[in-house]
Amino acid sequence: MVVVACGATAGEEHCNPTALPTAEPQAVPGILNDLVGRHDPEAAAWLDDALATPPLPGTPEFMRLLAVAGRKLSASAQQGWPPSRIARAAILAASVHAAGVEAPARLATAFRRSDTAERVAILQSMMLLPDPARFVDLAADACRSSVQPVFEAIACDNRFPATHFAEPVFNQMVLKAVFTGAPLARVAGLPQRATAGLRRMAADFRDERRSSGWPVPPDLDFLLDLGKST
Amino acid sequence: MTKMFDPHIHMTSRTTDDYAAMRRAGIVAVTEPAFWLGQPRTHVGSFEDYFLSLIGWERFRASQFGIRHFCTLGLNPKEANNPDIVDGVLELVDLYLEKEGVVAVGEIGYDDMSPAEDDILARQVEMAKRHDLPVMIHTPHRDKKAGTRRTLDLLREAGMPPHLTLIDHNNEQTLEMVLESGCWAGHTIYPGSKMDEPRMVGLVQSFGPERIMVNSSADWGISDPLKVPKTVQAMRDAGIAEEAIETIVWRNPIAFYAQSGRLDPAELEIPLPVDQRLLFEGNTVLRGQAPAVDSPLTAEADG
Repeated sequence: MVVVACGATAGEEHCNPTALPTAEPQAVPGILNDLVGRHDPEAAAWLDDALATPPLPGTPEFMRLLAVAGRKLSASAQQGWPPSRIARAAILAASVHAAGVEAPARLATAFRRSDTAERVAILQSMMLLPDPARFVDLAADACRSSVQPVFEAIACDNRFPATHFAEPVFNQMVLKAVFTGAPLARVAGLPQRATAGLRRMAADFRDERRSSGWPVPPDLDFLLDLGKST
Repeated sequence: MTKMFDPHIHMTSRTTDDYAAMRRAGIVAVTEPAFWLGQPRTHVGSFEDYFLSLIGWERFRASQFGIRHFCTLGLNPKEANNPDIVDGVLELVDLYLEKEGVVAVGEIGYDDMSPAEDDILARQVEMAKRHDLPVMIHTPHRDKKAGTRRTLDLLREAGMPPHLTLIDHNNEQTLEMVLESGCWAGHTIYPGSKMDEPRMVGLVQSFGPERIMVNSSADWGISDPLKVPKTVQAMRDAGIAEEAIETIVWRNPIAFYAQSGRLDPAELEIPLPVDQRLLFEGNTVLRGQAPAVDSPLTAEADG
């Protein structure tokens, strides 16, 4: 078995898989399925079989597998990712690897055909996929979702935006987080990405709130304070 | 009763109860801008059916409650970011802009202010000029002030005449620059966001009624299709002159959309007779009820 070191959450049963160290693409599904096995060995064996020849993302076989993985794994009271999401991440890692250069188009199709939990799994798994920068358009598009769990799956607890988003996309995402009440404390890498442009947008928004007579969200002050230190 | 025109309301999301309540409150005409459905459409064909419903079924449905229904067609900024559909949708917009009841290109504008949105907005402004139609502009919720300025800059550079341009969703931060530009200024009165009735009263007291409009923008989200009559009441309670109120909720929307040549101001002065015996493609708004013909509903509203 490949060593699983879970960074800050090492030692916990269900760590955050995005904290995994970089692994070879072909090793990632196995690492993830080991995590599934800790929760449900039977489901892990089923998944291991299913991933022997991974279906290409977006195909009917893939969509079925993604859906069944959600049903097969019961919820867990433990912190971190639910087992169903870890299983889906394993499927995604294997299938995206198998898709080669077709992966971005195929993953976009899979995303379009997914329900909310499946979309969340795709977005949260992005940093575990081979060459994740290829999926930046799909990730940016997910920021436009008005389904809050989908928006938060990319904006929160996800290193993808800070690593791969261009500044205008990142800034819009941060402002939308303030708008929709997604806590900025959960936006990974925000302090490193706080720029003068983002500070200007935050200040304008604070002016707008004040002139409307509405309360200023506390996260706006948090954002403006972040700007000051850069 | 004051006659009202809601210049921006998404009736496809509303019920027949809403239509009836709007008519009772004095709303006799609406413009429904094409927009998104809360989640993005992923096929060009979905837009064709949507445009057809705006010029077809929805128009008929409104008429069944004594309300004249106009629409604007366009590709909204949120869906402008999907490269797989934009070219096909713009071809459809070009085609359907010629239909009866289409009074502007809209709602178009910025959401994320992405390069794709720049491109789609500019292309639709060109289309409006080619079709001799006004444009109905959505301003972004996030980074609103900068977004409104960028919109005005783009429109000026594209040579879009200000008198043919309605900039919507204004607030205290944007109204002044919009009026200075010579464009018309819409205000969306929402429960809990955008603009509310007391603030709108304040804006009218500061800026007067010229080129000012109010709308409910009511859609599938929390919104209120009676916000125009409620704002009329708030203005009246604050002592704003009846003449100014009528300018804002009746004369201005008509003057703006009549520039399309597809809306006859004189015809709007005549109440639309209701005949619920009519069918649209074999379909009716009735579900077994007796059809209202010049119903008490309209008689009451006209009283």
